Amino acid sequence: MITRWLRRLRLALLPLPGQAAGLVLLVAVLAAAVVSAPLMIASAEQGAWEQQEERLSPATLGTSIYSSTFTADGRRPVDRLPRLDELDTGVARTAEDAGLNRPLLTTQLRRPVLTPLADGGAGEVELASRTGAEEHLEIVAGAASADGVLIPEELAAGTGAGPGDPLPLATEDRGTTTVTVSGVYVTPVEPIEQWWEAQAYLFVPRYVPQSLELVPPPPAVIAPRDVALGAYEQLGEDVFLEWFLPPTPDVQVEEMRATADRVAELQLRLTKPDSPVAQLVDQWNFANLEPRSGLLPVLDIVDRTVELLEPPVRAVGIGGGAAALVLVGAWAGQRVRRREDEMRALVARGVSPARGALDAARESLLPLLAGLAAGGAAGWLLVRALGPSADLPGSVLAGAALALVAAAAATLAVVGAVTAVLFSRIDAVGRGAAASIAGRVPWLAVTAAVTVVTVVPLVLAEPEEGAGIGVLPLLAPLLVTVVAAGLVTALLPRLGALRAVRRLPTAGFLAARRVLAGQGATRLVVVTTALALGLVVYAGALADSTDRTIAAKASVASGSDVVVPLSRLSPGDGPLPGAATLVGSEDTGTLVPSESPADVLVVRPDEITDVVRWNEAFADQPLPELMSALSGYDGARVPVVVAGDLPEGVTDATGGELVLDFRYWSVPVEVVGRASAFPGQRGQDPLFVADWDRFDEALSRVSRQIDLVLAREVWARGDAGEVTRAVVAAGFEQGDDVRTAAEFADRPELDAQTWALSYLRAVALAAGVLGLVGVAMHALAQQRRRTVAALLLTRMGMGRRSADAAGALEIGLLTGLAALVATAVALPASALVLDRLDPVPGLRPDPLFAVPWGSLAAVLAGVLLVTAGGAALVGRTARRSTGGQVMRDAA
Amino acid sequence: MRHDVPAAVCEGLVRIYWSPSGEAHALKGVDAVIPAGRLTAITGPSGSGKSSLLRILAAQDRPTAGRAEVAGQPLTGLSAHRLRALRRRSIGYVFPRPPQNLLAHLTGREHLALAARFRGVPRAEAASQADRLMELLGIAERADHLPGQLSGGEQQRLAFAQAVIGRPALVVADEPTSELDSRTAADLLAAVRELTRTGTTVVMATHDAQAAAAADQVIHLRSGAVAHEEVGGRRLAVIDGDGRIQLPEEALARFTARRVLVDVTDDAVVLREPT
Repeated sequence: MITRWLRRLRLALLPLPGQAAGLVLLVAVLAAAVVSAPLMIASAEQGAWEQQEERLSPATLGTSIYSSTFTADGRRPVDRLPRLDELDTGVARTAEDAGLNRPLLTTQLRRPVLTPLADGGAGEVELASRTGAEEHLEIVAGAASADGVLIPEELAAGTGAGPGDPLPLATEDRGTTTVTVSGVYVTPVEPIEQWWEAQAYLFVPRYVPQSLELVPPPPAVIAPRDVALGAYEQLGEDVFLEWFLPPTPDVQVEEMRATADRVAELQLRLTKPDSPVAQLVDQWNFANLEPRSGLLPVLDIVDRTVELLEPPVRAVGIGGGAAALVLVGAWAGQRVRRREDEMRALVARGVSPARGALDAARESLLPLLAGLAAGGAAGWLLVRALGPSADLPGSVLAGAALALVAAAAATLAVVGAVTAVLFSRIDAVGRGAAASIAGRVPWLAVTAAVTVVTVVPLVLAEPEEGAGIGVLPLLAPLLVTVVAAGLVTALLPRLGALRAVRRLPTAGFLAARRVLAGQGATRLVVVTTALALGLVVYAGALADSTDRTIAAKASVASGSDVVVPLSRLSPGDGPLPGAATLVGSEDTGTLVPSESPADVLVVRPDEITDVVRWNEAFADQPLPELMSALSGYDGARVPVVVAGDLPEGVTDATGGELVLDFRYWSVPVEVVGRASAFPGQRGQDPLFVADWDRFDEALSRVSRQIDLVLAREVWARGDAGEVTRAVVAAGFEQGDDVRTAAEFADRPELDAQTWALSYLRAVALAAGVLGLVGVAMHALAQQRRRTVAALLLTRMGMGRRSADAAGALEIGLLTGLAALVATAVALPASALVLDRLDPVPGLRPDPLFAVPWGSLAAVLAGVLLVTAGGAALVGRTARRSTGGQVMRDAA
Repeated sequence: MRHDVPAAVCEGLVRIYWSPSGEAHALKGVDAVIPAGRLTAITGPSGSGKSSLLRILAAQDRPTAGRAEVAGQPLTGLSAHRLRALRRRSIGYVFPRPPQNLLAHLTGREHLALAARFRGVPRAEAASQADRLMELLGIAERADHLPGQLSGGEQQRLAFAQAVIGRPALVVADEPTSELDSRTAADLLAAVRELTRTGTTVVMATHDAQAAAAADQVIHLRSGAVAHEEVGGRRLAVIDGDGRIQLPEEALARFTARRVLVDVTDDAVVLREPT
């Protein structure tokens, strides 16, 4: 009984398992495509967050609330100091009420206090406290305690105090107190522990420009909170307070968004007039509580990354899904065709198209579920393995599940619709009106027209800064591929008439005739395979070109790994680290005679080559050759290498002898070399790279000093911290913020583009595999249709080898033709749209094209593999059927 | 089934197909009556209109002009939906090649159960009919076999059983013996004769003289019209509603000028070549 029921169930749901396998594969691809889009977006969001988390310190990402007892009117804080405990408790409670952890409190006196030294004098000390400080100090004598302070070794030596000894403290205003030393710690040195990053000033020497020295800070006496607050009260000195909420490490971006919301809530509670803590601040005249968080700007960067990445990823995901649905439709068509006898019998018995569609949908149910499970799991695993982050938030599951449900519904609808249409055709006699009209439409011309309309605005449009990848650049090359493949296949039958074809050996002749005379399905196979392989080449070209462009722009954006801007008056005469050089720049110049803007970069040719990250795409010559042209110049002007475009004809008209005018001074220059871009070039204006000594001489002639007229920077290879320390140690004063090459790579535009194209590449690869599998399936179907012809050829004396060779050649010709069209179209098409994909159009060089050798190799390998594998399958199928059976079936 | 009411009637049946290369007149005014409970054979050379007539009788197509009535239901003006309903309820169909009629993954009994379900026969009734039919057609022992395990003749018998279950008004068979050897064909025809004895009406297109000989009535088509009928061993010319008659080939050969003198006497109508 059970067996019978199981058999009935199998017949109802899975009558032909072999046929269902194809649907499982297609649905798996469909599911993987539609599921991967939301997963990829979530992965990118998390990845962008992780990048920022890795780049920025907890001090930057955390939230700090500042206040003090200091008031602008200069009143002494005596009244407020006893309220510090209450204020701290109030802030902590407010933070906890807002859903945040209890903050770490850091306190510090406004001014250092004095302590008597063993030599009879008095020394300055900082009296500070920080929650949990004792766990982040190396205590070498005594131990941390709740009622004693920790002093540094230097202070212990200077005062002779040790654990258990009293340490008297006094202010300039004669406030005094005595604290007990409970332990001695080793003063932290750079690189300082991250926990102390925001309080590094307590331990790290600072550069004093006036004395040109590194001055150590006063020794820091680290007290427990209660000891510190009691001491402050006795000393009667103003206190600075900071409550710090460190970010929770290794949490998902969703959690950080929730934290950002809680910080906003905290801000509201702290400033709400009727809140106890706000009333306390107001009543005792504390400085207003100001929460500051680095979290919000970071989340803005994450949002921007997602905003740029989402449209192309969604488009690719939906496009991949749509393509898979088309193949599902083809499968449904093939299902009806392979079971045409059965369908005809059903039609003869009065089965309606709707019933046929329902049956098809029912039979698709199990393969559909299997495909959804396999594809969903594959999409999940692939995004985890290859996406920007493996840590996918749980909330994305709902979106992914919704996508799967939509894919399932679409699959059933497509299978049902295609089956119903084909059922109706079987039921109808002759061609229907719709089919007649559709047959008269010149589809190739229509597609060509649509392509032109799509491509023209794409070519004419100017790239926009931060616009991200549009959907159009992804779509246009596919249309071009369809048109090109359609044209090629339309021309094939004409080639079939060539005499050369008739002279081919039997296998070659058969294969050539089959391909060249190919109609309908063969054309469709070539077009779809060309489309799939074109997508592989196109995605590869875009991804490789973008990588190359970003690498080049990164080299240009930042002269070297680290760029330390110097103060104009910074003297500096000490040695710089090995791979470092001093450069000068000015960006307010005008080129004479063209009156166009011009920037100048003054370098030392012998040093710059070891410092900059040169890209061979910048110039026809290597950098040493360009720099030799600068240093080897023996003319009277200043030799320059021009990076970027000069106004047309300006060098020809002047013989390369130009003048750089900087309003109050000018320099005669001569162009000795050209480049398309140069490290440190900040915009699209041409950059004149000049030799330092020659430029200095020229400035001297107009009574100018190079150190004063140029903005100077130290360019160096290596770690930012080490370089900065070396630069300070060399006596230079740092000007603006230090820039690093890594910062450029952290731009949301770059991440969004790189990740979106990687995703496109993955989907394209899947499409390519499907396209090639489609060719093999088509060859198999053709072989089934040609069983009689194949048998007759065998009986006419055609050998097995020739038959196999003909099959292999046919598949090879089909895939080769498709691959040829794909490559021929995709490479120029990707070069064409590359300008539209410039992630930072304001920065030179223009997008650089890279031939996607990896993708081309993958296409070639795929073509060879499918030719060999397909030929083997076709040969096996041909040998399976016996002559008698073939002739009986053909009768 | 009342034997005095014909299972199908065709009057002045015209079927024209339109194609890009022009019109094709497949049927040019066919008059035929398919008597109930009889085996009728439709014969004729290729292109004579057998398949077109068969499709119309099987309610798979509608005539361009003329009247076709199957199971008392005029086909003209029927919607596709009602045409399908008519097929489902009243018409059984047998394709020429056994694989076209049967599903490789269903046993004989499952085929009949499925066919009965399409026709709306209750399960118990379907099972009883299936047993009877398989017994009658001599395939009872093969009821649980898959088509691949049956001979060609057994497969066609199963196809007939499938077409007959649920007692349709008309069973249409398209050259059912074309793939069978003469012995197997004879066995099949005998089985079909048995079916007609139980009241089933069968009309079949055939090129097979043996099949035609087994029929109660033979309708011979030529160039889209009825050339003649054979009933009880006698060849009858058919006169349509407008008085047109198709002459037998050998008679036609005498009138090379395509003109004839007609003498009507009390006991005969004589056709003579004009002198």
